[in-house]
Parts: sequence; C-alpha cells; structure tokens
Amino acid sequence: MNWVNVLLQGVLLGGFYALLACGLSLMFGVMRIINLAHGDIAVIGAYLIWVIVNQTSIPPWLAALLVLPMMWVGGYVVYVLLLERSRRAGQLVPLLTTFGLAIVIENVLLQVFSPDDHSLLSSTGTLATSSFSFGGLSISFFGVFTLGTAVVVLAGLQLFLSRTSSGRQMRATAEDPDAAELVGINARAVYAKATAIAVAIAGLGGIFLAIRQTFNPSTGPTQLIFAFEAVVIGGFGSPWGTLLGGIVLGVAQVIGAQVNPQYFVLFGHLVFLAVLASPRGGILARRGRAL
Amino acid sequence: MSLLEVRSVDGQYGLLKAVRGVSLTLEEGETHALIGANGAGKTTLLRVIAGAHRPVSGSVVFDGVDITRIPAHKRVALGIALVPEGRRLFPGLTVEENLSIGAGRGGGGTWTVDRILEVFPMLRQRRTHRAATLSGGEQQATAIGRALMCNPRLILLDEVSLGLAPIAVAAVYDSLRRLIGGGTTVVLVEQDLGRALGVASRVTCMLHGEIVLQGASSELTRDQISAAYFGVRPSSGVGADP
Repeated sequence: MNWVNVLLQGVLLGGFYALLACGLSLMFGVMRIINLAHGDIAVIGAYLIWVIVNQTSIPPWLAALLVLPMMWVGGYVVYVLLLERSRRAGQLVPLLTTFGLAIVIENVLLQVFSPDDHSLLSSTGTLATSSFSFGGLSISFFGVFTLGTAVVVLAGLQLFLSRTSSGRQMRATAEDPDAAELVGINARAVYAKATAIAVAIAGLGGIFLAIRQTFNPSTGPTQLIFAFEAVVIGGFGSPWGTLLGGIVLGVAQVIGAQVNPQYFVLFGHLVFLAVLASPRGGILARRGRAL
Repeated sequence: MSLLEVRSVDGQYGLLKAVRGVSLTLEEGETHALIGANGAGKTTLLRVIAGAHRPVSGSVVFDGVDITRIPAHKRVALGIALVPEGRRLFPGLTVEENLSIGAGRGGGGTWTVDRILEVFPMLRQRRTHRAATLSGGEQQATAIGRALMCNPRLILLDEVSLGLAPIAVAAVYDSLRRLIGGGTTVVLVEQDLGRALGVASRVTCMLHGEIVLQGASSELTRDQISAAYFGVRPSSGVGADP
C-alpha cells in the first residue's frame, strides 16, 4: 500500500509542476524563447497574492482572481518592452534578456520583502492542510485541487490552440511568422498575447506555490528548473506532454524521497537526464512541429 | 486611377541591390506577368509590394493610398495577398485551417472554404490532412486558396509552377484562368514564358534588378522577350535572335 501512496503523492506533486511548466512550454512553442525568468515570475505571483491577502481584507480566492489579470498585463509589458526588441536581435539575446530579468526580479524582491520566508498557509485556513481518506490512503485535498487546476488549464490551452481562431493564428505564427504576416496576422500581437498567457499561468502557479510551501526571493530558480525538467521530460511544446512530464518528475522525486529523503531532487534530475540522453527525446515529443 | 503604382523602388539585401529604380503601374483587373532570369529581382519586387520587404527608397501606392510604410499584415486588410515562393504553408495545420486562417480579412469578398474547394477540387479529399502531407500541386493550390481567402483585390503569385509535376501545373493554371475571369488583378512571376504569356495581358521583363522590357503580351514577340530575358537588348542589334 505504501508504494501506491508514493505513486499518488507523486502524481499530485506532478500536477503542481505541470502548472508551473505550462507557460514555459507555451512561450517556447510559440516564440522559441526559453524564459529563464519563468520561476521568478511565478514567485512574483506568490508575493502579489501574499501582499493582497495580508494588506487588505480580501479573501484568498478573490485575491487570486485579482492576481491573474495583473500578471497578464505584466506579461504584455514584458513582451513589448523587453522581448520584442531582443527577439529581433537573434536567438541568443532573448535568453540573455530573460536571464537578466530573473536577476532583476530576485534583487527587487530581496530589496522589498527581505530574504525572510513567507507563506500564505496561515491565511488559507484548512484548504492547504485538510485531507480525505480513500481506500486506506490519505489524500491531500489541496493536492487534488492543484492537479485538477493543472488539467483544466492545460485542456483549456489545448482547446484554445486547436479550436479558436486566435489559437489557430498562434499556431500559424509559431510555424512561420513571415508567412503569417502575409495572411494578415500581426505576429507581434500574437507573441505579446502568448507572453501574457504564459505569465498569467506562471502567476497561477505562483499562487499555488504560496499556499503549498514557504517562499523567499530566491525560490524562483528552483521552480524554473522543475518546470524546465517537466517540459523536457514531456516533450517541448505539447500541452499534454507537459502534464505527463510534470507527473513523471513528481513521481520520480517522491520515489527518491522514499528511498532516502535526501534523494528527492536527485531522482528527478536523473529521470530528466535519462530522457535527455534517450534518442526519442520527450515522452510526447513531436519532431519538427511547434505546437 | 490605377490600382497599384510602384514608383522608382530600390530594394536591397545588405549591400546587394536586388531591385533598382523599378516603376510599375497596374490597372484594376489586368493580369500582369513578371518574367526574368533567377536573381532578376522579381521576388523582391513582389515582397516590396506585399510589405514583406521594406524598400530603401521609392514608394508603393495602392488604390491612391501610399502604403510604403504600412506593415504586411495590414496590407492584407487593404486587399493585397502574396502567394510566396516555396508556398510557405503552415505544415502542422490542416488544409482547412490553412485556408480559414486568412478568412474575412480583406472584407467585402466572397471567398469561403467551400468556394476554394470548388475551384481546387483536388483539395476536397485532403480537407482534414496536415499541409505537410500534401503533394506539391495540392500544396500550391492550398497556398493560392489561402491567399484568396483574404479576399484580395490584388493577388501576387510567386513561381506557382516551381517544382510541380506538369499535370499539377496544368491544374493550377486551369484554376488560375477561372480566377482571372473573375476580375481579380493578378501579378504572376513565372519562369515558363509560354504559360506566362498564355494568361497575362501585359508583360514586364526584369534583368539585374531593372525593367528592360514592358508591353502588352499580344504586341511583344517571343524574340523580343527572350532577348530581354537573357540581357541582350534588341536595340543593340546583336544576337537578338536566340
């Protein structure tokens, strides 16, 4: 029964990683930009909801609804001010830009919030700690809620890309931005929208981060690595691959922790390296296709 | 008033001057063939008209409006559509998705996916297939259809027969004739002189980025055109006969 429990905890943890990884995967899929500030952007989301909940009497669920549009606008601004210019300068420059952005975010957070740990745990009541029993297993309610949110977000993203005209334009732009311009698509606007969506979803990941654990200004890079590993394991640019990648990573980490509590992160890295070394690449990797 | 006026346009790639001082006027409804050897500047001229390439100097006037500084995606809304060289379909999108992506942009037009499938019946079976899996002829038909879905007043066709089997070329040109009959203004870049002269009412021949010959296709002789094509000017009196 113990291993069933381990597997279950891993799957639930994987839901959180998938949520973190979703925006990273979208930005790479549409623009070929690996956003090294992704983890720090998620941490901004965590601080935003923490500030709103602690400085006002707004309940956490409403605060979460306020954070998302703020992150959306932030993503738009990041694209227009930073990424648009650096994207035109070649492939390496956006990578350096987001690296610089990560450093700036971490230091601003350090300046404003001090290096102390923060958490939303005390404000969310029993949401984060309650659990229910099922077949002798104790299942965390918040874990199920996180996984459910990840599934809804990824399914929504998949539907948006495949069914809506806006999503179709995003796929077309991802495949050939010049040809997209020639059929009347404003590639810049599409890129800005993709960044806004990615940053808003990162903010959502940050909200879950704030509830499930403590965070400080240097939490971001670790989240980036987990998100990146989930994306690579699942295969770049595929929404369901991202979910699968997150779950595989989560299960590997929990199994590692079962073997020895110190091996939690190590086992995740080993699976990541194994996937990188395998000839196929990610689990749902689709060669030569953007989204 | 002419539909399109290109006024002494210079187009450059780095230091390479691809188009030098080219002026061109198109009347509404005409079919204009742009011919010339590889590297003559035909593709660059089309890209300048479509807004995919910004000219160094000169201007492009469409329907009385100077569009030189208007980006490509907004020119589509004005009614200019380019079928680029190499087709440039979105390979991961289905035929239907490729077609509907430009739908309703030009405004006022009547092209729908169903009408495109009437003009290009070979696409009917392929509607839900990814563009990457199509044959060359089917891809070209999809590319033309995708441009038509933008309801253009002016359609620019770059090397539509390049790399196609002869039977596919014939099918594409059959559909093209129907399109021309419908009154759309067409600029056609074509290597095959016979095909170009067969559909075009006027011909412009380019060489080394300049226009060397222009006229009604009925008035120009094949000799004149081949001479201009290969860079031997008839006025020089040398070797005008190929």
